[in-house]
Amino acid sequence: MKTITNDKQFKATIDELSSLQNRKLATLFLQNVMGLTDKKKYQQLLTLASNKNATEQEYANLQTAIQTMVVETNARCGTDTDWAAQAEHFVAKSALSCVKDANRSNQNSAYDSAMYARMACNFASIADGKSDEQAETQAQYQILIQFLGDK
Amino acid sequence: MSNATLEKGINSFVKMIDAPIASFFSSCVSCGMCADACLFYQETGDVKYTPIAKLEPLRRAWEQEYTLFGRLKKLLGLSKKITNEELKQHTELVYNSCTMCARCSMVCPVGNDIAYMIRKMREGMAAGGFAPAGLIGASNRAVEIGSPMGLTLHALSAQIKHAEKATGITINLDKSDVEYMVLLSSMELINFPEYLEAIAKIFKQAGKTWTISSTAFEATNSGIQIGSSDIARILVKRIVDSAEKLKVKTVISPECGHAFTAIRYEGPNLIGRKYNFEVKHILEVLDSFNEAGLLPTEGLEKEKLTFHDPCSLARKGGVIDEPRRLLKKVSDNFTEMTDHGARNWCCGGGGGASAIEEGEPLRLKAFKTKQKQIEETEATTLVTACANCRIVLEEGVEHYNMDMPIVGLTELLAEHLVDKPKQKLKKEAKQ
Amino acid sequence: MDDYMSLLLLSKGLLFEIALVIFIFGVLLRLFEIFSLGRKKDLSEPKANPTIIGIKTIFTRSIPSYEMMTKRGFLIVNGIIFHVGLFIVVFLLAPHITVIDRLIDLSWSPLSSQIINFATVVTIFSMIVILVHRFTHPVMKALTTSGDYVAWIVTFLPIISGYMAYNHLLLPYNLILALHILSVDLLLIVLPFSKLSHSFTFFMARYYSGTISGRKGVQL
Repeated sequence: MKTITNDKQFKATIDELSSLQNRKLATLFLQNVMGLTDKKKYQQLLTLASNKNATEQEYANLQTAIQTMVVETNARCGTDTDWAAQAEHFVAKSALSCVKDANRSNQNSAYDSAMYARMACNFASIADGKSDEQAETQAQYQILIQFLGDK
Repeated sequence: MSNATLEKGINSFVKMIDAPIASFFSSCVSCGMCADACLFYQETGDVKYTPIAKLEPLRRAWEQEYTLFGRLKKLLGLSKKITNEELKQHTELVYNSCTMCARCSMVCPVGNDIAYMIRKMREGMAAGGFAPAGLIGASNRAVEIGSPMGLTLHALSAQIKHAEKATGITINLDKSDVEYMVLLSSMELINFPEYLEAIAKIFKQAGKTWTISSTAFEATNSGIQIGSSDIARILVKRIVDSAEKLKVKTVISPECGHAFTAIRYEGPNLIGRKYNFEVKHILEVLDSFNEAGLLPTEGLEKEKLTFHDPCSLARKGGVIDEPRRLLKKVSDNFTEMTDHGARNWCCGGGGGASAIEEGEPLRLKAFKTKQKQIEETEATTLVTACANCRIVLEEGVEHYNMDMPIVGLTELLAEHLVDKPKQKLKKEAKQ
Repeated sequence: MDDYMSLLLLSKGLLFEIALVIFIFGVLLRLFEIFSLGRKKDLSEPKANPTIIGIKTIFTRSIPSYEMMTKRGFLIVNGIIFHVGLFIVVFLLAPHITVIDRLIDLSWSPLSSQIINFATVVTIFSMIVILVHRFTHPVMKALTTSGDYVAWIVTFLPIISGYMAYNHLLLPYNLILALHILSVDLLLIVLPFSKLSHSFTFFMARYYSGTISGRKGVQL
């Protein structure tokens, strides 16, 4: 079984995956940070991800909705930052990586999703002092290993 | 507002008037061409958004105080007084519907710099208590917490830790005698933390030493947006004190356009002396790295790119060629908008406008010109160099259902950075 | 000798002298009002030479941008026609040059009367156009104050009366000539204190504007 202990290995391993595998993996990373947001918001995405026959069109439709979530949760210049809301913003960004067109510049969607998920944890830690980006990173390594095993 | 605060506001108007402003008001012939350059008039067709008309209270303060006939009229009680009601109405005109983008200043046939006057008029508006709540909140946080968005040192440290983990590069706080002190904007740290990672990677590759000050990491200046030189001075002074304490050669402004003009051009005038260090915009620094061969990149962007010039960076900051030289390093498919560089159209959120919640519907309406110009390029990715522009553009793009990712130039360059030891690069260059 | 001779003599004699004194005083006062306000020294490191760009801007701002030509081309072209026409009529008509020569001992060759006459018609036409435009263009209509009409009237009167005098229209020659000179007296008195002050302050406005953007290395 492959071991992954640092980001260099993590990224190199993801680089070798196809765009569809990238999308699957991206969704797994997203699922792991669902605790930072209202899971219901992403129910449609999670359902779609579990459907093997999902079409690109369905993903494209969802992309618009998630893009709106990303924009709506943006922190505006000069406003008092709500760190927990900012964590949700990055969860939305992670979700956006999961629905990007697999035929278009999508090679690193899993890596992007992972990074945004970590940022979400980081913001959550500013908000609650409990969340731990380091733990999330380790969890992501495990998710990737598991994913490769299941492949 | 009480009469006492109104008086304060009017006094501040009077104090702000200098020879340029007097020459501007003396020269206006009411042609209204400034309206055609203004995004808010352009998209609403409402004459109240005519830039020169926004300055009417300031104009009367000038006339009544500094012209013979104005004084005579005032003496005889014939002049129209500036009232609370009038200034209240001007809050929307001077703040919500003006980004101080200076497009109007560019087209005035007699040469009136209207944006310069708006900046001065805001001093009186703020002094009189007529500034919008959003900007008051931002200014208070900037003074008390050190960031208009409430970004504390604790939050900064968390972001630094994140960037260190993501890049494997150590980022030093308060390291003295390094070459550069990097300033950040809260917007970048909060919405685009990738910026910090990009900086870390690029500076490591270039072999340059740098630091972030724990007491002056914020570059944005709410004092300038709201129109309070006193607040603006406090914020600039923090940066100057830190830079001089750390004995850095150059202070780097973040991408944020107004932060750049604040520290680069207004700063010395606010503190009343020249700096002991240089101030450069991050794109100027990256351009200089590039010129010295210290910014090796590989690969080209697949998408067709276009560039949104932040007004404060281009028209008001003079950083125009640098982003283009840098973009061409990573793209052979770059196209300009019809109006670009010094003639660009504002995104609609500059000058503090994006911090005013009640101004949002108008902002989105005013975005239309930009939308059209972006669509005309048929580009598939929009690059810019200002976190605030980027958020406002994202909102606009979303509002008008445009499918277009928006990326920051510094991050884009970092993505193409060649991760190679210096010796190897030198060797390659020789071959 | 008709009854209007004394009026003519008065208009070009004492009244003209008074008007001239007020004009000079007014211009100097207005310049003093502006310059005495001063300007703080800019301590920021310039990216380019502000003075050079300031001086350049005095000239370059006369060239309209493509964008403005597409949006307000009508106003711009009409404005250029008016200002060029006015310049020709004021400074290139033989009798005007004679007056200037007498005042400051400086003269140059005039243009033929036919050309001046044509220029006057064009100038009058452009002034009527601008007046109609002021009434109808929404932004100009909103910006226009009584001051703009005063400026228009005191400019229009000398031109129309000069045209009538030259072409011996309607009124006895001496009367219309006296009215022409009286309207010039009025123009001289009003100019420094009205919107017409832009004729000598726009150099400063353009210069200052040019130095502000020039400091940042931008020529707008």
